[in-house]
Amino acid sequence: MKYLYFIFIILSVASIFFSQEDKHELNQSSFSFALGIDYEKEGYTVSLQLINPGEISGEKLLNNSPYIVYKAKGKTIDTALEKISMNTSRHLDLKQEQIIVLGEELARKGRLKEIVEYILHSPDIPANALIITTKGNKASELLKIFSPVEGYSALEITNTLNKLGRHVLNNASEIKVELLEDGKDISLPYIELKGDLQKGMNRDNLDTTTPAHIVFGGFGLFKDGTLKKFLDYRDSLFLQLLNGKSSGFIIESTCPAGSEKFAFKLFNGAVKKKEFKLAHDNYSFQYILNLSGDIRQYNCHGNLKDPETISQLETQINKTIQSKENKILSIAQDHELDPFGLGHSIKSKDPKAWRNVEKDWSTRIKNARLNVHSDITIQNVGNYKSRGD
Amino acid sequence: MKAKPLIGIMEMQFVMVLFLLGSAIILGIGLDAGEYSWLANLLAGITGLFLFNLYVYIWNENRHQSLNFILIAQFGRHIGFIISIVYAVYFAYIASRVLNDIVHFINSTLLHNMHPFFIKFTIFIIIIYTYSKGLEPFVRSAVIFGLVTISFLMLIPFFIVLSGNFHIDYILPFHSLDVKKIVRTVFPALVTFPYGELIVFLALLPFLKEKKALVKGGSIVIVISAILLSIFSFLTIGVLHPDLAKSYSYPLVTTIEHIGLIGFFQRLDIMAVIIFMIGCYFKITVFTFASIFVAKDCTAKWKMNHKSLVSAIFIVIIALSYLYSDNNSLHVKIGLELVPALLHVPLQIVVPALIVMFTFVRGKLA
Repeated sequence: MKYLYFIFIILSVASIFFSQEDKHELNQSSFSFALGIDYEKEGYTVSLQLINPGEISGEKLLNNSPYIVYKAKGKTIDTALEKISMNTSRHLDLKQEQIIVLGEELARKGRLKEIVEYILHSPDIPANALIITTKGNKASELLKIFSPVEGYSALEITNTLNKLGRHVLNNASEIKVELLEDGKDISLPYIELKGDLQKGMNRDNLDTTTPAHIVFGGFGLFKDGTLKKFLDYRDSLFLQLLNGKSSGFIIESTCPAGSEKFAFKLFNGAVKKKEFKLAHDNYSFQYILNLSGDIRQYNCHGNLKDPETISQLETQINKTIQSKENKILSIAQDHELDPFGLGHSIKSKDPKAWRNVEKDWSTRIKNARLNVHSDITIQNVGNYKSRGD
Repeated sequence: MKAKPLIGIMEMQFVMVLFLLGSAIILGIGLDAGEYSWLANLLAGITGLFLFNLYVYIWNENRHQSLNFILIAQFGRHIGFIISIVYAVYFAYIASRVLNDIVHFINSTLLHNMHPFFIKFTIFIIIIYTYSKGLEPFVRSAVIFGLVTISFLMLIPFFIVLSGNFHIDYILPFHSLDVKKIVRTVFPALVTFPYGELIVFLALLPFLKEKKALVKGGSIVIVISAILLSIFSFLTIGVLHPDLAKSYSYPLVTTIEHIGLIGFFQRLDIMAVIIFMIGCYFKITVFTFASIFVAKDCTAKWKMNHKSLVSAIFIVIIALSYLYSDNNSLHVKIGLELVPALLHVPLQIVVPALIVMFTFVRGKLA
């Protein structure tokens, strides 16, 4: 026991030598859920959304904002963070960071690589923080928006994105891998603002029924870490379907007869087979997808009790998917991008052939063709089997 | 020193598990082999099994004596004495290296601004306390700590796979097997750390009660450890990518950081921290004990004061920990390039091989 007392005393004395920053006392640190990084000619503008501790402690209802956005410039992200730290009385705790928002300008200038490298390097920012970009506004502006539903815009953005499914989103190490891999260009989700910015930054935003708010816009397509093109969210979902990272979404198709529409709610989508063929120096890619889902709104005239109608519907959905995917491919071809990872599939199947085409792949992809065949299983046609009359 | 048998085989097995897995699993060994690091780990395990059986053979052939007696019996009084001293210093140096491992780890993940000396100091107080209590309680505590470590190690793979961060497409399809690369990873770095370090048990084995059960018991431990190390290197490259995994300072910690299960289980890297702390504590303590036992045997004839000898070894370990350890890169570089070639291979493979040769030749002559 004598030894134990001795050790206890020594360890207690040693704790005096703990420095201030190593003490993670709750009432001395300030948490942040979102970090925004914007372009600056030499360096970065970093904005940090800090949760107001008075607001969540629940002791006393303070009448101030639930969070504060601090902004600072710096040649490195760390100097900017240090400047922010000088503004606040508390120790900045970045360990709860959930999303890193990159401003559009930063992404357009091709600085994604630096940010990814920084996050991988940082001991504070967790490895599973998601990286997204913005459209139209700066990251610092979007972080200032008062969120009508969740209260914190960081949580609102994270929850909106998480609905897409966890495989759709990317963290720093996944982006780093895609930057290293040949034959695939990165696509990252982006957010944009619906409504007036000035109104959204005011607390009155919470008091109206039509607040300014942040929405998931779709995916931004990158080339070598530089943002090139924004896809809208419908196209983005189809893009992710071919990347095998789909989440449930609605596919609207034309009826087998007539110009009316019907809706197919996709539940599960997976890429079953991925092949390529070389004909006349042009690559054509064959995808076979396995899809399952339900028929939702139905404006067509066929009787849903009839299996024949179902198979006709399947053909129609198949056609829709084929044309949608080709549309995305043509967008990508215009910008010399390869968001599907077509080159990567050549590389993994035939590394020798890839070495020959690697250099001029961005021009070769312009002649690439895409064939998508979907094996569709319609699980459910609804509680009432529409007779089409 | 006449060893009193007081350790059961099960306790010894737990010490060996903690000794083998403790720091190796966190530092992510064998990741240089890229997508074949799991194969490299299995290969190293097989070689390790062979090495361990070699050590046990030496021990059995030399009437279950301690390391110092074996060396003197085989190499003669003078050379044996010198080699014993070399081993004592070697064990102390490895203890100081593991001490540095944990200090760098704590400094880079938990307490960024803490002065390294205080971390070394506090860990060392615990080790001194352990020594003051003796070998038996230490070995028995291995059962408790071992169960904690193993249960964490069983849970983490499930968490990693369920969290959806494991990308099988990083590993598949297997490209042509690069045998050269694997062999270069396995020899000498992966064989000597952690399997070759089992030579330290030659200093502790005289305290074992069940001497016959050692071959089977120890081999089981090595097989289990090799499989676990292989599984974890497979998971690590699946999460972090074969090309990138080796660039992380603590690959498993980063891998576990990726886990986010149903928004509830997050930041589980604390599990890795606990595993690393337990493992390092056991490694340092085992090396310290071994160093002290060998030194005691060497100086038995001079009737030295035990307390001053033990204090001297503790001071040597602390002092050695300041050698080439200014930053983590230098520490790791020396550990991966110089130490295996200059210390591990001669003392873990060459000397035991010489002993086996001498034993064999003497057996033939007699």
